[in-house]
Amino acid sequence: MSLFDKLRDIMSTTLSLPASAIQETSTMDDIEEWDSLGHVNIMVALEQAFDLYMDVEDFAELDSVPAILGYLEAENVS
Amino acid sequence: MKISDAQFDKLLQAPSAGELRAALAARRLVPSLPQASKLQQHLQGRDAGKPLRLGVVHTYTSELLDPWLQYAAALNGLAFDTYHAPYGVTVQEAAADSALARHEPDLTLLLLRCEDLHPALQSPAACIGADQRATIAEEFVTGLLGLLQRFRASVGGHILVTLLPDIASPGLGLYDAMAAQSEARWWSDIKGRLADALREELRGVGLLDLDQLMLAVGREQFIDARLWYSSMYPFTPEGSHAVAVAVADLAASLHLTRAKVIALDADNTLWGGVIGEDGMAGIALGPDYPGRAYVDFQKRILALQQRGFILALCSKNNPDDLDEVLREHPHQLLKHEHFAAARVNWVPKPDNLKALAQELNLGLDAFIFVDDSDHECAAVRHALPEVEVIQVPARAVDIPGCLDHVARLQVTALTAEDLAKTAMYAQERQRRSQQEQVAAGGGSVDDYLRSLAMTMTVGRDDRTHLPRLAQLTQKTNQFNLTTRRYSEQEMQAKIDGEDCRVYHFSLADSFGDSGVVGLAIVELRDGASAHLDTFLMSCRVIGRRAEQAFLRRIAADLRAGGVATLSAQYIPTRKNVLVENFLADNAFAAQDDGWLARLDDGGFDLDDDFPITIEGPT
Repeated sequence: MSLFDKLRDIMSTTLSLPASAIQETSTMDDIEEWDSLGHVNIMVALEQAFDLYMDVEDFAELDSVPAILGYLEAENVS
Repeated sequence: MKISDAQFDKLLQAPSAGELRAALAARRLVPSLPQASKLQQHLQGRDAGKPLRLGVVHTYTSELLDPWLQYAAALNGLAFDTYHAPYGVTVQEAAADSALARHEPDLTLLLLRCEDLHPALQSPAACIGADQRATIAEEFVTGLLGLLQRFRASVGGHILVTLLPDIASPGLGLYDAMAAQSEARWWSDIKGRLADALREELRGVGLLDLDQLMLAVGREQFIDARLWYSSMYPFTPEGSHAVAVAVADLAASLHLTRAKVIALDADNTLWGGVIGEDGMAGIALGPDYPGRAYVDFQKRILALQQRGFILALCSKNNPDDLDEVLREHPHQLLKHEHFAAARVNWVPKPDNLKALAQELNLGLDAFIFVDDSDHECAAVRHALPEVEVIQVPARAVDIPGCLDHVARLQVTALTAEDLAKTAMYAQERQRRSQQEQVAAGGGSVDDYLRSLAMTMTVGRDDRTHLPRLAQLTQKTNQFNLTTRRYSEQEMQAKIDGEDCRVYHFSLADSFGDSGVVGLAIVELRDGASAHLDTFLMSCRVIGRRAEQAFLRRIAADLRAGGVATLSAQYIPTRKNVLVENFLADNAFAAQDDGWLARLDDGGFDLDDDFPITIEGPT
């Protein structure tokens, strides 16, 4: 499973959406369910799924799939 | 404990929500947020769950609890339809026409933070002088009680109050325990005052103590500083999980069929080993490992009895072997007198459970069956799906806590009748043996009933028994004409209502007093007619003609008030076939739309030799 596939699985489960609703280019603006509360849940889910401890300052930056993928790659998660 | 991917795949194979819950509890597994959501979707794909309307009012962010609440509900076979009050709206939601009231919640959850309720609590507790503390505690409780009374008046269903524990540890640090102005002690005092006031003054409002949940996981695992400071949401995933599970468990205990009996296996459940093979000296029960774990499990079972559950034995043993352990083993805590009924034999357990249900006059869905054996658990699950089966874990160290996470073993109220239950079943055994003696001497059923020297005390519109009266409508399935369920606040409205009379009775005899076991609700319509909304009786007093005595005394009381006709209804359910002929047998005549009785034509007179003396209503 690629990193994007994992992220898509986590995000679609957390936002109760079909996997197809999450694209490699999606941003918060594209997905109605990805509101500020959904965003916190996505952050919590990422932490748990990838065993991370994220800075609150990073939460706001990670507002798109590319931004999250970039962050996860920088953290060297698998 | 985290759930690995391999474990998670296995959990998805669990055949039912109950078995999934048991598997999680046995290994103390806490799912991650995506795992929780997947498990919930998986469970609800198979069974949508019993819908329940939940209202959440909060002084801090509550919406992030949602996925956890949905998960915890699904584990209990429930599905929450949740309304969250808008942020910062608390008092307004207590109004009669609020959005919360319009949601008509079955359960209302209040997530409150103390400093939002009393301004003095905004300063550090360490800075509040010892002399001010009692006053502040009193004002806090009085203010909160006032708010809760307004909620009580505007929503039905149960109300659960939570107070967020302090985000930080005590201001005086490790010295807090020693300090005259200890924060921890003050906090317990505040909660104690609130609990006392709720118990005495407000029906159907309970305190869910978040500190108890926090203690189980630890403050640092419970509170997430990042989410708190950035989003006003206090809980870590583990904390969210603990809160949601507690709320869903209480919802299950309020809205699923009530459990009443814990039926216990003996070998490898109450002690380690097999008494028939290992003998008194060989079984593990006592001060050493692993016997200590079994002693603790027995203590836990005795505590569950204090929650109002009755105990029964259901084991495959030679009766003499088991008797010897119960009577003679120095570390055996559960004795014969703790069990309301027992089946110790070699008959298949489903048959024994059916026999126990019959003896105790309870439905099988009131049973929780506890056994270590794969085979016995599977046999009961297969033959009696209505029985909740809890398999005792294989490792002795996991056994003492194995019933701690059974939702239906949580209670939201305790009545005197709950605590006296086992004694009452023991009296029932004595009555049975007297009945056999009278029958052996050629006596009739009425001879036996007269030998009991029964006195019935009928009461009317008596608020002192409110919790019990509501509980009777919740719990009584068999001797119940209409099976209408009423909450405590609905019952209170009926007691207070001018056009409604709530009758109850208790029955004393030479073996003891039943406590309040019968209830009737009569609606007064116009001047001369009345309607029997509810007529029910606990199974404990079935077969003693108490229902005839009760109905006749009610008829006499209504007649004295000028009522000439009483209408009634029989609403059949799967369980109340016992009363299908009750109205026909007791002076009621069938009408197009129910049943009707005249109160003035002698149909409700009692024979001179009726075996019960009746007193009241007063």
